[in-house]
Amino acid sequence: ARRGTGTEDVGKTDTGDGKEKYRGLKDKRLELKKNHQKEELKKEVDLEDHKLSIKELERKYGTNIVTGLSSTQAAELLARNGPNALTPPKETPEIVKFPQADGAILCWIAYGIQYFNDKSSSLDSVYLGCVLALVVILTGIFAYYQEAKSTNIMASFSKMIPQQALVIRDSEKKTVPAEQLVVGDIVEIKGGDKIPADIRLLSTQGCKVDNSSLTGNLTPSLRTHDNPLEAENPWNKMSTSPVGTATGMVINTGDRTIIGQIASLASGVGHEKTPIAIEIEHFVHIVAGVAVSIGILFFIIAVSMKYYVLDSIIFLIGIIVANVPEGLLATVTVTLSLTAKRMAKKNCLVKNLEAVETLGSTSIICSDKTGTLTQNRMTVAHLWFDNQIFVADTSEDHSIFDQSSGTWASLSKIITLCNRAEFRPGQESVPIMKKVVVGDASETALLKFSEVILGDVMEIRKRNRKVAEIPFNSTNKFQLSIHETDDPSDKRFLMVMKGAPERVLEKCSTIMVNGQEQPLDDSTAEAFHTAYMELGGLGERVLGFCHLYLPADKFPETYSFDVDTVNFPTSNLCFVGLLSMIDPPRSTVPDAVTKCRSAGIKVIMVTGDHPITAKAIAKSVGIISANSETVEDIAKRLNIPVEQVSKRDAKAAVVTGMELKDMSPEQLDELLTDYSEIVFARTSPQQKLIIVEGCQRQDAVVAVTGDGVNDSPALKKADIGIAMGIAGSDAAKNAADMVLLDDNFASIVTGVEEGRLIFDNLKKTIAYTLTKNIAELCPFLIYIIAGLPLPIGTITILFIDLGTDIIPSIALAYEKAESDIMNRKPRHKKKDRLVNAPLAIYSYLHIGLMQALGAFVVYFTVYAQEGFRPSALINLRVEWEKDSVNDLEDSYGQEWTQYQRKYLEWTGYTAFFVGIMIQQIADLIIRKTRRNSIFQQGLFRNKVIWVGIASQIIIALILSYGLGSVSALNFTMLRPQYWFVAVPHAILIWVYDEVRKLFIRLYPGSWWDKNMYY
Amino acid sequence: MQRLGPSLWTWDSSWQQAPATSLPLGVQKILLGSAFTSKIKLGPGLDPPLVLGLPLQLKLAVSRVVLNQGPKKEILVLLPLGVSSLLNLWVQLQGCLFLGTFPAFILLFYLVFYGFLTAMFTLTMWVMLQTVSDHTPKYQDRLATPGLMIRPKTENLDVIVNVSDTESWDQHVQKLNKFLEPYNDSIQAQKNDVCRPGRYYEQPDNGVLNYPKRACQFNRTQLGDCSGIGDPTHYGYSTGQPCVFIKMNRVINFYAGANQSMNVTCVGKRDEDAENLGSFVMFPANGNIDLMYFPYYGKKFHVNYTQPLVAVKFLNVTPNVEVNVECRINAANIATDDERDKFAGRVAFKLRINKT
Repeated sequence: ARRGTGTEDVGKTDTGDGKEKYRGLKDKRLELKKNHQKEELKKEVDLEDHKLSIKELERKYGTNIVTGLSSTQAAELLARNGPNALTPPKETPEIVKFPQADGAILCWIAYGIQYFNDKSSSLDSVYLGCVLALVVILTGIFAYYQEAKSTNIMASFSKMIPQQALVIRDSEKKTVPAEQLVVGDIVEIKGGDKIPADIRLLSTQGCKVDNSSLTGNLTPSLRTHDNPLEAENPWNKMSTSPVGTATGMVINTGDRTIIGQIASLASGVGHEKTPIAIEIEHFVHIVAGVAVSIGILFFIIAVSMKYYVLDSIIFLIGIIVANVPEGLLATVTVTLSLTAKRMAKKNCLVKNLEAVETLGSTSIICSDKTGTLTQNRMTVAHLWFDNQIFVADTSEDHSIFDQSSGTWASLSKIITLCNRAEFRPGQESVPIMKKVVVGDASETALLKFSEVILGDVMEIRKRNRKVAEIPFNSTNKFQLSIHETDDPSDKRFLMVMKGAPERVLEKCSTIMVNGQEQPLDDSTAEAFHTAYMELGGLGERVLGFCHLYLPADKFPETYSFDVDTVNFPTSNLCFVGLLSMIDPPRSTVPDAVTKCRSAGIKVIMVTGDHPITAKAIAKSVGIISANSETVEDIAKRLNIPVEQVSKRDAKAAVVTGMELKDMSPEQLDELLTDYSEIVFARTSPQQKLIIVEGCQRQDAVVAVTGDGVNDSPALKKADIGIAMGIAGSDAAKNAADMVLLDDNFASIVTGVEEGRLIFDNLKKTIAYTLTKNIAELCPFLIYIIAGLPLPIGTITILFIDLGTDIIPSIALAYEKAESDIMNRKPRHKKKDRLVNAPLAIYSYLHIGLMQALGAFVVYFTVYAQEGFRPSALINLRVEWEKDSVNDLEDSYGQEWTQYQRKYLEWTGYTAFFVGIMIQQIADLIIRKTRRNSIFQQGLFRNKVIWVGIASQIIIALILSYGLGSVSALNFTMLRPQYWFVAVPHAILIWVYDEVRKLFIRLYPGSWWDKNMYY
Repeated sequence: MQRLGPSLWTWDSSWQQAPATSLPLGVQKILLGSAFTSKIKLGPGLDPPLVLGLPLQLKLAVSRVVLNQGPKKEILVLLPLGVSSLLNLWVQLQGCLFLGTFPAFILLFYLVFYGFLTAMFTLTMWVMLQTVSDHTPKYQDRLATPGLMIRPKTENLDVIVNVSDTESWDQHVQKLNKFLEPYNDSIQAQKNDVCRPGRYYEQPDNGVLNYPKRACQFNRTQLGDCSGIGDPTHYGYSTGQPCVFIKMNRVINFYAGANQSMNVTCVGKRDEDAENLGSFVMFPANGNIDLMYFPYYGKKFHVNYTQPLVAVKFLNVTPNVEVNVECRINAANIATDDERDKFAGRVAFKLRINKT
């Protein structure tokens, strides 16, 4: 048997590609697995069942088309092949990983060493390790909870009622859950049913199938084709059958259906790391790098200062752990979920938290056409009669075209009568455009159109009783019906016909102009062709309409029409007019596309639709802008062959799946870089994948929107997959990272804005968090080198990281954008890092150091006023920490017991803590902006910042005065004046940062700007 | 003062092609860019032509800023008079001179920045130290209860004596000799006053600083058998009857005893300790500490202050047993029952006499 042409070839290029792409990958197994999967798909799509005769089928599947399977057979098969349901994709949420877990382990190691060394060593590092582990676990749970919440919302979308199927088993018709279908079952399908599995049609009665969720096309596929995806028979699971009834045999169930295979292709596609995950990994590398290098440096220093090696190792571990920003994991998660919540309010449901930011760095959006850019419902767009094209706008004032003409009267009658679609009953109160119709897309459009313009269509049809009908089929390409007229004096029958315009015209000898029949001559035929071409060029589906009043003498009232023998004339009809329909773009899309443009995002349309339609829609929504041309356009304008057109002149390109198939990856890359406006038409699911991969090779962050099952592999492959919430299939929603609850492309723009804002604000949050890291680390370094009593303890540090600093750093997520973020280019994935060198340097070496100094001032103040002047503290460490020394002399000659010193040390911790806290307030304020002055941004615009500051102060007050007596926490009641010692340094931080920002604004592009702007 | 013109100089057009990044950058080298070469205008004091191929150097010295090429040729000299010339240089660096990587400039920046930070820190520290007086600490809330301590000072507050092993106690003896040296009668007589016992020796300032303040004599001989003077038994360590000295921590302006006499008592911590401890004698008698040694005025004012001691000579400690001894001070205003501070008004130590 021949193999399915299209799929096979695509499969081949795909495999070749795969080898190319994954050559660099170390994991060869992955490659093999992927290729294997694709190979499998290629093989299994190659169905032959639609070519077998019924007898052969019966033999193959061991069934009988009359009696069906026996129950025992069915049960056996069910047990063997499993239920007819798609295996839900396993999703392991990728949690933002921090070195925390390692930190916890290091802590325990440190304790182990200490314990080994001295059995009575303090449990500090064990506590620290436990806290770190707890933080990791808690944030993991939080992220999981967040994900579960959005999954719940998702679940509410999918209908909970299990699908039922009417099946013949044991010669009886039974209704069974669709899950229990097995291969060989004979099923009956009514209009409106979902096809429960891949079936081979056995008999049909005027039944069509809507494969749109599979191919992305609205048009029911009617062509015979070798490719089972496009062949008329078999039908595929998930497709809906809008009209008619049919019987079929199940040939594939569950994951082995075509849908199942696409779904598994989707789950086989590895999820790329999200940009924010990459950024955070990069950030972790920086922090780890700093930690390890400082740690090793001080290890060497400690060893050369004649510390015990074991002690030095503990110092090393301590330094590394001190560098772990404990609170950041929680902060980032909360910040992301806050934005996710905000986006959900704007109808962007984020399934994967990290995807919140991805949209912000998106540089290419590959958008599906149907349902995303368009409304996914055919609408009558134009009419042509009386040699004139009229615009039909059913949404607004519909009297814009001349309805007085006699031609219109005839045309409207044909539109109304030659139509099998009907409103589903019980929808009287629903507006016409929203009523549910039983019928295919074009007929629905026509029905609604006539209902809007003419009023009650059903009533009109009742008055013009239908006596005979030839339904549409792909060979005739027309539909015909014969009616009695509603004029009681006119006993003639009216024959009405609609169909492919050229076919309809062939059957006509006259044409109606202004209500009068005129012979169809060359000039009128010419006018017809011009109009036909024009409407077709708009990407619209054109139908021709004609009618004939059958002479009453030949066809009396009692005449019996036979549609099989066609005992009535079907030629020399009277041509009445043309009507064209289109799936119109959503009204919000053009604006959204413009916004994407100005935000530097390239919008590419990828559709399974016809190139002309695709291009027309692309033009109308601005994906191809008004003044740009494709190579073909230029060729047409200049009247030269396409080959002679310089490719540089064309900004836009329309590429079909056939052309794409012949392209090498290099050519695709070239195409993607050369043209700014690209439309891909007639693409297969695999090609969508290839396009997405091509975009990703350009270092672009790619967003893919889609609704059909056919989109799901691309959705998965994309950096961010966006599925439609209303129209989208479950497979698409499963594969996507984000769901647009209102199916509105414009919501993406909101998402982009939020994503960019969150990136900026995360920068601020991280800068804020990193700053105090140095202030927490310096004391330890000074403790090692200068031998001061330890200025701040681990528990105290934890209270900063997980206490006072948490709310403020989250508050930065509420900061408004500094400038119009939608007017700048998307960030470059590899150049514009979340944490760049200026950020780290500025936070660590500038503000961080200032903070450390400020906190040291508070520390020294406390010690000096209690009796230990700074000079006395140097190299005091060993004596200070000895339990047996209970008469340590201070600067005044007084002697201190161990506990008295310990208490003073805790007071020192508290003082250092307060010092950092006070300066963190200044740090928080300066982090509100990166370039603008705080006063430009407005000090009070972000109220949450003040909540953060208040929380900082209140937590610190509680710790010092409320819990100051709990000795385990190492806090003491600090004298009120010490709270203000660090204020000068806090002011200095603010002033210094204002100066920094001033110079950045004054000298853009200067040395200062490059090194100080983060 | 010479100024760099708004635009600098141009010479050979080949300069314009000179790759900016390939310049080997030493400490202070700059490369002239071509951005402003269209305006050929030489500022005053410039001395072209420049030689191609030789890097330009900018030297930032304290007295002057020199732009030169090669080892000797000075092209431009700026006197850093005031801030404006440096600012001018700054602007030039921004605008007209294209700087490759310029480590020197970064170094300079950090030098200035950290210099400023150090200055700021020093200033605040200085201001803070102004609030601290030289003779009394601002706060003494932590020292409300003075601690007690023993001599000889050992690592874990344990006095272990191997009678037969001279080395085991010799270090203690050395320490004690050193510790007791200031108490020698001769030194005391020379430096300190003879005070009236039983009352505080107050030396108030009365508005005028009155220092150095005098201290009261505590003569070594007051320690009796434990004075170690002419003692062949080395404070009893060689005979297994060791002396342990108890001292109370110095606290400035602390009126110990609240005008009532006070003394030190020692007991075995537990019953068996009390048994093993045996008898002991205390010097001065009864473990008394006289009020005249208080108040203490601080190291700086009370220069020759020698704190009072109580020596305990353990006469017949059960050998080869570890004995936990606790000594506490009985004074009206010194609490000795602090739960957390185990050394507030008391001291616990271990005593072990090893005899074979």
